[in-house]
Amino acid sequence: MTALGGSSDVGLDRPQRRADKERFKFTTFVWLSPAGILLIALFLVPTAYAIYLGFTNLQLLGPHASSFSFTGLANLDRMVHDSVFWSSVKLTLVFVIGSGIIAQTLLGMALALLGQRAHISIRATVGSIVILAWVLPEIAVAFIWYAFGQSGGMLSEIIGKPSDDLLSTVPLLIVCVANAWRGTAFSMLILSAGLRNVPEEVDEAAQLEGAGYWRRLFRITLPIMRPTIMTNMILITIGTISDFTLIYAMTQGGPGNETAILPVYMYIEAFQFNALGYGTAIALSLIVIGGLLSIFYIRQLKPELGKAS
Amino acid sequence: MIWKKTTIGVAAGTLAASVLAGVSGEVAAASTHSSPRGSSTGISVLYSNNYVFDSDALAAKWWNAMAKQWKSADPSVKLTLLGTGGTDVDEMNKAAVLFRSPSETPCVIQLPTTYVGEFAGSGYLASLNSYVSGSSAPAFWTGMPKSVQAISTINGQVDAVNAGNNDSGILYNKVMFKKAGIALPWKPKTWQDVLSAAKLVKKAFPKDYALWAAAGVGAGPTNVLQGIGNLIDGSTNPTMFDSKTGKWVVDSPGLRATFQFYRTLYMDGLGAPTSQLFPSDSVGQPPLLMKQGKLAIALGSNWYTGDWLPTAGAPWPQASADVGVAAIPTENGQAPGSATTIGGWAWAVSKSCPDKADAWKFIELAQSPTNQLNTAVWSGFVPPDTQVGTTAAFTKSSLYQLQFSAYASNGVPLPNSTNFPVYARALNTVTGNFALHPTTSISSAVSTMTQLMTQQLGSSSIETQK
Repeated sequence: MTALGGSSDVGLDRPQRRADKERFKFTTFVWLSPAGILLIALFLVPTAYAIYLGFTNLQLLGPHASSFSFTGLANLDRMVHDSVFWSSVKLTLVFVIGSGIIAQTLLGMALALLGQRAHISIRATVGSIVILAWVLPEIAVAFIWYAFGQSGGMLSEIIGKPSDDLLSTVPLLIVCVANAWRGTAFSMLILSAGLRNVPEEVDEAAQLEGAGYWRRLFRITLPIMRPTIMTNMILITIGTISDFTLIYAMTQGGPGNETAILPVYMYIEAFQFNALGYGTAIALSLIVIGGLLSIFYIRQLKPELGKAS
Repeated sequence: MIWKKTTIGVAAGTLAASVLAGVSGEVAAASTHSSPRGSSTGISVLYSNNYVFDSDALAAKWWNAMAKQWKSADPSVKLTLLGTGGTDVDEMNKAAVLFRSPSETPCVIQLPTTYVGEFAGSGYLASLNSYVSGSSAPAFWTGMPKSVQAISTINGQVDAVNAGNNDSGILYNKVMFKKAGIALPWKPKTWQDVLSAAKLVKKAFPKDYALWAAAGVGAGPTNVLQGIGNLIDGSTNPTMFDSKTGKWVVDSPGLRATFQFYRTLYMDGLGAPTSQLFPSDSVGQPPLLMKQGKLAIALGSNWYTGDWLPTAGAPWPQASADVGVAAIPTENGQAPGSATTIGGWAWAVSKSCPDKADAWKFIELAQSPTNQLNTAVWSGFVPPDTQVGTTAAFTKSSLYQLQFSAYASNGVPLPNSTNFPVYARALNTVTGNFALHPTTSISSAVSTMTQLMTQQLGSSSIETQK
């Protein structure tokens, strides 16, 4: 008893470990090391190397293909004075914001709202058709719109000018429409799920108070769905900002450089003009743009993030 | 709400990560490593599966025959064939990545002649001078005209051996010409003659395309080889790259005259529509359009006629009766009277190949008269060796091969420089602008050339010729 009682006393004097507080354990390193090694080897090291290459004169072919050197801010200086680069930045923003964030979110939301009110059979049919565009390989979508948008294609027939080559006269519009057409299904799925999470009792209460459909949509449904909408917009931005296949297969960045968004311009510089270092520097500029958009999203989501913590 | 924070955080992080991944993916591709390919007991050969021969089946037939011949000649040396898909640009991009690692580098590479300068400039190619000089020079080399040998010889170093060439001429539809009231045989003496004929055809066939002249960036440097390059070579200032100054010509009377030709072509509605001109596979359109009776005149390549053979992509038995041929005239009919670019494919040996003697043996085998002939007939090439090029087996293989062989005597290779793709893109942008906006002024076209070249290479790399 003494021993037991003594032990109990000692235990009371010692500071108690809180069960809810995380403790550092060396074994954590062991369990995390496989993932950590993979992350370092396959992501951090190549990324750091890419950042370094962005400041070199590395060529795909040419005198600096095998013996390249660090050139400081030369690529950055070239970029600042490269009017094609700035036009490319503008095109990228139009493509990402116009065809991705705005068009896909609006169309996805419209379809999600219509689907909510439609009969289940119609909702299933329309949903399946829309999703079909999303599950098609990007290259297939490119060829569909390539055929659709050129002279003699269905689009020029529909507008009553069969000889108009819309893919050459309004190339950016056509690739934007193609991108929106492809990505709308994804938004529809995300936003439909978000709509189902809006509590019915809130909507019913507003209805009893005499609020109309549009008022309930803008004052209740959309504010509740705000985090879902923002998440959807982030995912669309991820999918669109680095898009290459769709545009390259449809226009190769042309005519001229009219559809050369940054990933396409990066490819042209790196793989057609052999300027691998400069092409990598352009890729790094995509990180900056992506980072700026991320900051924008995080700032917009600040209220929700505050509540969550 | 924790899941929302986590989801949003992960999504925002992924946004930056996805961009980074794109960058790292590119770099990872450029530094791939695996087991060595070249060794003392074998050689490897990198070639295009889809872009050299008229069909994939013919490519497979030729390469299978090569493998058999190699095995029977020396079974102890293993031959590894590294066929690659896609276009010439795809093959070259793959080669450029492989050559960055000596252990990955193939011993022999089949490459477009326009890329020889780029690979040589990278220090990737072995000198072949010792194999082609002196009394031991092989017959296929001594049988080549000096101009063909020169295509892949830079600063006195033989970097590659020509495997076959394309040159250009004018193919025209005789039936449409007759209906348009143009006397046959048609032999234009100046560019104006070509445009005048195109106008007459357009008047007679308003819905069809009068004259094909490649334009736009879609098909890459090939559009220069088979399009505007022919006109520049026939102009009064036929210089694209000034080898004396090491500068690219962005403005000259010849360049302006060439731009004026394109301007008139599209301003008068004589050219093909942009939907036909701009796709990456536009190079293959003229033979098809001619066969369909939709195109009257094509400023095009010698391989077109091979496309009309029964075994090729657009069989057209009537072609021999319906199609005529003429040389591309010079601007004002000045000497030598006709002009054409010349370029094709070549064999080169990599500097890091451990067994260059075996690599050279492979090239000798590929250049045997039979293999050279098959390459030419199945690819629409003019054989580099004139002895092969004058055999009945070649001249009768498809329409007008004899004429195209004759045109090649005035052939001018495209500049063999690392920066040629930049110049080609600038030229193709200008021709594309004329096709899309025919009212584009000549000074605006020159300004576009200057701007694009300056942006890429700097103002010290360009010049104006008076």
